[in-house]
Amino acid sequence: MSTIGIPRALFYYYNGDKYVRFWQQVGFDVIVSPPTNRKIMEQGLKLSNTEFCVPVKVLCGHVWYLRDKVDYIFIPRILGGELHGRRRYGCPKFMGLPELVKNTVPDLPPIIAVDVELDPRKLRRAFITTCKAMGVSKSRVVNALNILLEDEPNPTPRVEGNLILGVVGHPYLLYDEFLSLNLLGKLSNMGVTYVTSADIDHTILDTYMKQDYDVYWLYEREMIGAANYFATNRKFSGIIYCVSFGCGPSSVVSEFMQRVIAKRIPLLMLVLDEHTTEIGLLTRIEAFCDMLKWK
Amino acid sequence: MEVRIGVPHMGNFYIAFEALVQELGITPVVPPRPSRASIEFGISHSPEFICFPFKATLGDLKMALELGANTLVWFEGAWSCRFGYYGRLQHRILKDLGYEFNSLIFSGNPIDAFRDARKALKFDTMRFVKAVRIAYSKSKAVELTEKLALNTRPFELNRGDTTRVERTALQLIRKARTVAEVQYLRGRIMEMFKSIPVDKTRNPLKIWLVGEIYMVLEPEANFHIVEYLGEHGVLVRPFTTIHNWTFRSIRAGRYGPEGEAYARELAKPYLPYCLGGEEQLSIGYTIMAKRKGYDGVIHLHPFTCMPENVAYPILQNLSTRYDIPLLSISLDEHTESVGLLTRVEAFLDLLQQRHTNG
Repeated sequence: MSTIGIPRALFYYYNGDKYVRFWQQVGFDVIVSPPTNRKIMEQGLKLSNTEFCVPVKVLCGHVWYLRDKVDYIFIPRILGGELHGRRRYGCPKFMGLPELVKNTVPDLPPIIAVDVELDPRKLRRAFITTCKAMGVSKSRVVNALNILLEDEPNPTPRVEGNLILGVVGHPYLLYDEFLSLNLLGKLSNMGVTYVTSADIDHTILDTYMKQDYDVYWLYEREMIGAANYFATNRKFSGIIYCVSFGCGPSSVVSEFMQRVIAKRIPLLMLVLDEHTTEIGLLTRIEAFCDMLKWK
Repeated sequence: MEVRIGVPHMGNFYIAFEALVQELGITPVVPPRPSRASIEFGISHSPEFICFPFKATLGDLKMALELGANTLVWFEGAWSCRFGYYGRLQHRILKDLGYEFNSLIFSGNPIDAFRDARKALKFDTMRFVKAVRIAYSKSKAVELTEKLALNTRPFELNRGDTTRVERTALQLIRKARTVAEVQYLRGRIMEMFKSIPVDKTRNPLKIWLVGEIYMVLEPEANFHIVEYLGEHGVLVRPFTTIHNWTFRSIRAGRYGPEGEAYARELAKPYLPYCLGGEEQLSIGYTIMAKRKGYDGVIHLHPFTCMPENVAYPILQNLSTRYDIPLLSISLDEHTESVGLLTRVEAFLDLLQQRHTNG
């Protein structure tokens, strides 16, 4: 039986477990690369163009780790689709991810590049065509596709505490402990309660999206909605906004955050890259929390 | 209230824009060419790692406002590149700084944009058609001038002749009032270029210039690389022209053996989707350069440009696989002209050796 490798980076943090279950049901062995460590990171930095954002560099490291262990590597191409009357896109790097990886990491096994669209019909067709080319029967794919299409409810957690913070950022940055230098863990250690932008339900996000900030990037849209939600909800005393250095869409969104959101709620913007140090990060979070407590 | 529209620079775009707006009975405000001072302003008020064109055009808009513009226009699109949000963000930044102006943001769809513009600026359709005609003929004449200059410069006997003639020709086009006048000028411009003393026996290097459109077409951003290459005896060919960019909604430059459609077709095996910028064109024209026997390709892009960043590793691989000499340069406000031109010069030396050896 052939094995499929899924790098634990970028898209894995959106619905990675669904992809794992899907490929298992289709009948492949699935290997997910381990959480980012120093070796993977350094390999990624060595291989990739210096101008990529850190998460993309890390992805190249993960793919490098997987390349001699698997028969295929799964890298979806996130194309977006029609949502609330407008065409939405992934970041250009997400849209060209398979090509980017193919041309950055040498000696790769074949890459399974599936066009992931929001429209379930197109998504279904894309997966069926790709699997057909790999020699998998249609019926098996159709059964497995239900895993990808089912919509899990994502109830917003109820939080209580003295100091509640909203943490806004891409899940692939926040939940990658190595990349974010365990930011979330540090917050818990300090006794701070937090809700991340990924915790909030989509329907809530939509209601907090104003027309003016309804950007066409799928993931940034969610972040603006979350920030709006945190700023409106009086339970939250501040927002920590994480961006990776060189992130294109974030350079636009961060400006909206600083010019609009920061007028309504205290905002700490952290720019993370491969040179960020643990102590520097900790000092800034501590200072921010102290200020919020005195307020 | 009199409407005075300010416009940012990109190469000779302002000539067509001025003609269009004037014909509609609106006063155009054209700021001076981007300079250290205007770019410096743009940098200090822009987000930290946004691309260079944003910073430069923000500086231009500020200059236009100081010259008395009271309306700024931008076309918002959905191309997944950051370009679609330039207008919104720049207008907000300028308003936060205390400038007062009327901000008009039109949709990227040309028909919707026309409808909204007609309502906001109050002109009638017939007049608009007339305005587009004169703008089109002017921009076509600008294209002709640019092409003649590119083809004459490497052969000129006295360095600087072509650039001088090009400037005079552009001024003439700018001053022309009617379509007939522009048509007459076309002939005159051709004669002006013919009168430049040239040495046709030279066998110049041929280089294709690809990359992000602003960096390729705005001489202040790329340190006049087109003129520099020409004066060093290189036949340089930018992948597109201002005319094609301005009139892309009516498909200028899309078809033909060197058209965009064909370039995209060539790029498809390496990058199947358009990512919102010129990345497919960069790849397509690099392949075309090889097929047409060009000596090399120079790829210019702003630092952290998202689409060109995806194209970059692909171009590197194409370059080794198909033996296309490629110089990829990422430019931003920290680039110095000497640093850039030294790299270009070294590249030219290498090409010259290949050229003479075989």
